Amino acid sequence: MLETPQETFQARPGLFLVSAVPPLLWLALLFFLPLFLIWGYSFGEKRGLIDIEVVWTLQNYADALDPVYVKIFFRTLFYTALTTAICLIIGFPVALVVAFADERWKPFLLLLIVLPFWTNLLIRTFALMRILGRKGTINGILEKLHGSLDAALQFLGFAGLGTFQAVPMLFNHFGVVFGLVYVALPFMVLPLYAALERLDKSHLEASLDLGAGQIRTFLFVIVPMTATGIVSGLIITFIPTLGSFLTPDLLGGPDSAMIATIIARQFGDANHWPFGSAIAWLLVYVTFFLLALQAVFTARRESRLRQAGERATGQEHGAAA
Amino acid sequence: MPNPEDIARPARLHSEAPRGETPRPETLRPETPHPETLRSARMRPEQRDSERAESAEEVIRLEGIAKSFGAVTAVHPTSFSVRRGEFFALLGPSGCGKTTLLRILSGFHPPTAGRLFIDGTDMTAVPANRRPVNMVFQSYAVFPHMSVGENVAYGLKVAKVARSERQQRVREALELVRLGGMESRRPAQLSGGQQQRVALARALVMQPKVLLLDEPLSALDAKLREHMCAELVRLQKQVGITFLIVTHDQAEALSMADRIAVMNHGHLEQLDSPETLYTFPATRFVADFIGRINFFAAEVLADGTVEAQALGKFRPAQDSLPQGAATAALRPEQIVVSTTAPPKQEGRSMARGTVSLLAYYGDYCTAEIVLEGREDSTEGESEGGTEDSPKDNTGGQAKMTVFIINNTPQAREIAREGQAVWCSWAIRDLLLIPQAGGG
Ligand SMILES: Nc1ncnc2c1ncn2[C@@H]1O[C@H](COP(=O)(O)OP(=O)(O)OP(=O)(O)O)[C@@H](O)[C@H]1O
Ligand SMILES: [Mg+2]
Repeated sequence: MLETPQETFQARPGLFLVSAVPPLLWLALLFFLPLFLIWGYSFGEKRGLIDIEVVWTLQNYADALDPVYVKIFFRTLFYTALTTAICLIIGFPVALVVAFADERWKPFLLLLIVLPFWTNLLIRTFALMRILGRKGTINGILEKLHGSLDAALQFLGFAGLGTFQAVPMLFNHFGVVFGLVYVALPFMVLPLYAALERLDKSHLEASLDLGAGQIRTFLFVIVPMTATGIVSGLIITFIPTLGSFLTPDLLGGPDSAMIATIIARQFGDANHWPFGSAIAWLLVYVTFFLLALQAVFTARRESRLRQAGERATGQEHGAAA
Repeated sequence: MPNPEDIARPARLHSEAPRGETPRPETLRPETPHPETLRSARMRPEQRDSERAESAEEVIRLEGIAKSFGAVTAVHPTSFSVRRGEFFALLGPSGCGKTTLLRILSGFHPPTAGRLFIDGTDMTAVPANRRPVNMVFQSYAVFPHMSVGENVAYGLKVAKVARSERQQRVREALELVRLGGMESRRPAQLSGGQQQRVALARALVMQPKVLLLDEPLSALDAKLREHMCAELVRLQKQVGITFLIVTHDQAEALSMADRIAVMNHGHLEQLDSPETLYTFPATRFVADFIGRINFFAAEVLADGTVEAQALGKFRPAQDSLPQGAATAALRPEQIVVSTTAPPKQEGRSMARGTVSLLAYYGDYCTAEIVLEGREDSTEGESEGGTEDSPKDNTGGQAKMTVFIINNTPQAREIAREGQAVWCSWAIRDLLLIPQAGGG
């Protein structure tokens, strides 16, 4: 007789344990152990070139609270928040287009969204530099437009526009945020698309049928009904962006370093693992804090709904009595 | 007491004012007849007649409405109108274009051809959110993130109805669908039937000129469905709003509707009252789709008499039938079955047969009776035949399906396979459908 894996495991708990060992081992060896080691290092002291002794000092954390690093930390948060917000603003319409596209076009549009995943980030970032640079594609187009406009104005007898000034889009804040949005956008679009896809379209029709316009339907029906998708989109965009390293390094200027750049430097050139570990763990704490915040928010929301329901039921019983 | 007919008449208030600024009609308030309907009950007969003519005016008119999806034609050019205040049903088998037609009315599908008038105004190009009709969706489409009260208030909020009035109207609408006091409940805490009532209240509270319902009962169990049928009829009478319901269930349509439009393959086959549809189906499809019926191949002769292999020669009640091939139809309940030969009677025919197939339904049985020594060659109706309609007499032996009421002494005698019986019927009950009308 055939049984489902679930039935098999329920019937033979031993088998379940045995087959659970490899993945658990994997997780322990390659995730928890390094994380734990780094956590230990963050309380350590450097002895010699590569030796580290864990002496349970808080000095590394105290060093990390130096204004220089606090400033970088807040800059990182600001970049990340801005990137997440821009991704949401751009990603929602994109997800809407894909979700409501004709069935024939959907696979193609989805492919376009995941296509960047199939290309190396480094290559994409260098390509982006080619596009954004002073002599890049965009400035090239702008220069041509400038040239024609200038010629046209002079032809008509107006004063010319002067020489073309390239728009600085690289090695500054703009470059970093542009790059971060570019990398993170698919992470935002996919959960939004999944949520929209699950949405029963007749709710939208019901809203229109009751006289609401498209904007009201979007704000009061689509957004609340895809709230879980929006929250996962925000988290799945926010957390990786927070740890971005390559993008600010390549696209940013001298004052646009993000915290991951600092961490990388401690483990690399600066060779100060304990300090790097402390900053890394600060980042982990922030992430945990945000996730906890989200969990509390969800729990609160659910219990509020449940309470409202219980109140309503109570009322009904009261009325019946 | 006002007579029920007057209560059934729609209120005048909401038929003129555009939606949104509608002064709240009194008709939604349960058990309180509109003052005007009270007055009309006391009017002199001639005045009431003129009003009746007005109330029979059309609220929806379709002129050659058609819809194609690419190469698929869902609705062929169709014209008909729905009268103000009536309970109108669109009936037809799956895929015949009922939903498509309803969605054209609600504004979710632009028609490929034709024009649509709602209350005399051309609404063909008006978007869904500006049409004075509301829809009860098959999936209910109750907003899960809003309470019951918020759901019902949604349309009123859009229409910027003042808060106090909104609350009152929401309360009244919920009472109307017997959900009073459940304002703060969440849809997830409601049963399917209750959610449907929320959807009903949400549409009714808008005082639409026409309430559109797409298969509202198909997701309910048999008992609840029967109950909701009666509820819908009661509601419709109470609020006086025109109801247009889509269904593939002929029993539902027959029991609820004032008039039924039967559709088949995107064509309107017949539009009539339930009684007329059942008694005088215009086409073979309608005869077959509504109720059970026996078909027999027949031929109309030059002298107006009819010759049928299974039924013999007879003079039909209908006159001016076109000469040529036709189908003779007879409802099972029009056939009297007995174990002994019935006395010969003027205007009645009879045939001997054997009970061959019995199906038990509790209160009654259907029996297929194979007629002795009679042939029939009715060609099989391939499309639209419902599963529980009797099989055609496809070639060979003539058969007829009859009803036997259970738990009677007679039933105990007849309802046995192999039992020899007599079938008799009145000749005037035989309905002749000319072949041309059979498509
Ligand atoms: N959006 C669409 N695109 C293409 N074809 C469609 C579309 N909607 C309906 N059709 C086709 O139009 C025809 C009529 O469909 P419709 O949904 O109106 O049938 P229906 O009478 O409501 O059937 P049911 O009782 O199954 O709901 C069908 O052949 C269907 O396949
Ligand atoms: Mg349908």
